[in-house]
Amino acid sequence: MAGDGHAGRDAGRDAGTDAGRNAGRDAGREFLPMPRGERRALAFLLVFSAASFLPAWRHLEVLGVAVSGWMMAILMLISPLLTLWVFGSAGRRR
Amino acid sequence: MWVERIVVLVYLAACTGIGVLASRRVLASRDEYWVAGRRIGTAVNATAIMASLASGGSIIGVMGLAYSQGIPDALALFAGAVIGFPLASILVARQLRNFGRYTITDFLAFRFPSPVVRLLVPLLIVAAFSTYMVAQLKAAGITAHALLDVPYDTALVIATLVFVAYVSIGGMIAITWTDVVQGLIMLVVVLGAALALVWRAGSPVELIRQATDAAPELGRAAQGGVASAVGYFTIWATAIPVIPHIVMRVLTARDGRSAQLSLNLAMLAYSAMILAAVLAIVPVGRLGFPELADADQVFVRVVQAEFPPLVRGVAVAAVLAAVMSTSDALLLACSSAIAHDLLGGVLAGRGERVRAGVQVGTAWAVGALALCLALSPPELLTRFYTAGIGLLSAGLFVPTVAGLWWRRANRTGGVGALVAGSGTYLLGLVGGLDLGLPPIVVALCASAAAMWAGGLWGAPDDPEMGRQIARLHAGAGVGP
Repeated sequence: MAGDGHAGRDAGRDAGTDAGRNAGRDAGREFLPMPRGERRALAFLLVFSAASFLPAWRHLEVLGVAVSGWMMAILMLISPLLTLWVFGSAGRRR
Repeated sequence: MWVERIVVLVYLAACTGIGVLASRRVLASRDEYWVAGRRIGTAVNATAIMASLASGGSIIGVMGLAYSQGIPDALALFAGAVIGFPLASILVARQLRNFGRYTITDFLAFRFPSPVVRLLVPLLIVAAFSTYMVAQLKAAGITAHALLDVPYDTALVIATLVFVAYVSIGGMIAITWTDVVQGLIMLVVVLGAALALVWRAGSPVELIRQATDAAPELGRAAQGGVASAVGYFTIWATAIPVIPHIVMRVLTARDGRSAQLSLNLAMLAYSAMILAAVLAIVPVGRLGFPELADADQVFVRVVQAEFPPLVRGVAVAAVLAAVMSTSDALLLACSSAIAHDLLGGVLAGRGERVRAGVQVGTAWAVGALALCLALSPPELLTRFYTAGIGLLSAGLFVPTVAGLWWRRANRTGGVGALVAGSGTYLLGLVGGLDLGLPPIVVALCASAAAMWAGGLWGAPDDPEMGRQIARLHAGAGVGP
């Protein structure tokens, strides 16, 4: 997602208060802006998910369970914690 | 056996009572009936979302899948659902909550105004969710039969009557409060059972080591191949942001931020439950019952063998809770697809009494259809309903996300993405399109390509649409 990382501010302007001043700047963008923290969290989770499916992890085993399975288990725990942290940080900044 | 039956009867009576209490205020207002007045708090909504997603598949099905296909592939499927929650909370939750209407169809028909969208989206929802409900009812039937010695058909009829009754008269408020009760029961039973089993084994490491020594295939990946695991994962990751029963819960939230937080808290509880089931209960089942003909029976067998009657009764209530907490949300979503999305225009101006009558009647009709189908149930729960969910994510994910984020998304692209995604997925399912990739991946690519082509070559939307979407991002609703 393209954007400068200040979605709330930009979107607020888009919504009408400063639309004229920002219209030119946003017009060339393909996507509406997304907060930087959310964009990074999303990218991290997608990369981690993709990495979990690498064929190498399917043949290595820890405690008799394929590493791909353990990576999925880790993903299930870190994804909610990471996203909650991102939203919590954004809330504190506001 | 009587102790278990009494526990289950108390649970069913409590659900019905909540429906009756809720009916006093919901039947007079569409806002109350479909989205609980949009004032559900974060903790309550998180528990209800967790319960809505944690179906019979999440208790019976995940353990059956791990038992039959191994822990890694089962986790791949359910990790997909867990990843779907951050996708939903980042990509759609705040904006859809700000949109402030009733269903995903409302949003798509607003964003891509076309009769195709208005008609096709609810039809996809009804087809997919009827399938999903049948799988849920099978879980209720086999559990009640195994643990309560109630005939399968009788258990189906009783469970269906109860949840259709409280959904039809109590709407979203009844669903929310029954889901909270049901979610708590599920968490206590699954986490409690897992802890007790780990305690007896000495440690979780010891338990997993013993089970994988005895049955090495339990820990191995790739019995169904990477493509199969990627397919399961992708279906659920892309479904959560758009499946109607989760979207409706987003719409009940007090505000956009509460919707985002409740999705992630729900995901945390859901992850804990799935991991406890797969990493503690399944290994015990594999050690104790290595040759089960029906893998979906593993939880029932473990509970029967390891716990006293009172716990067995609560365990049956937990499975029924899982089934009913999902089925009630599916039923409401199906009813809204028919009574609101399809018949909304016909009912306009007919008065609240007629509208309420249609809402209640639709719920009973859909429940009866699901019951009839469930009397000849599918073999393995998870595969069956995952195909239904795949159809929805194939059709709805790209138009919804692009409609909210891509400035060049337009009506041509939106309609094209909906038709191309769902059509390609159906073709892939019946074997008419074999590219060596999971059907969901091919379908999502087709949907994205159609959206992109429409955006490039279709007529641009009115600039006012862009301003309306920007308002959703900014925390305001759409204009009149």
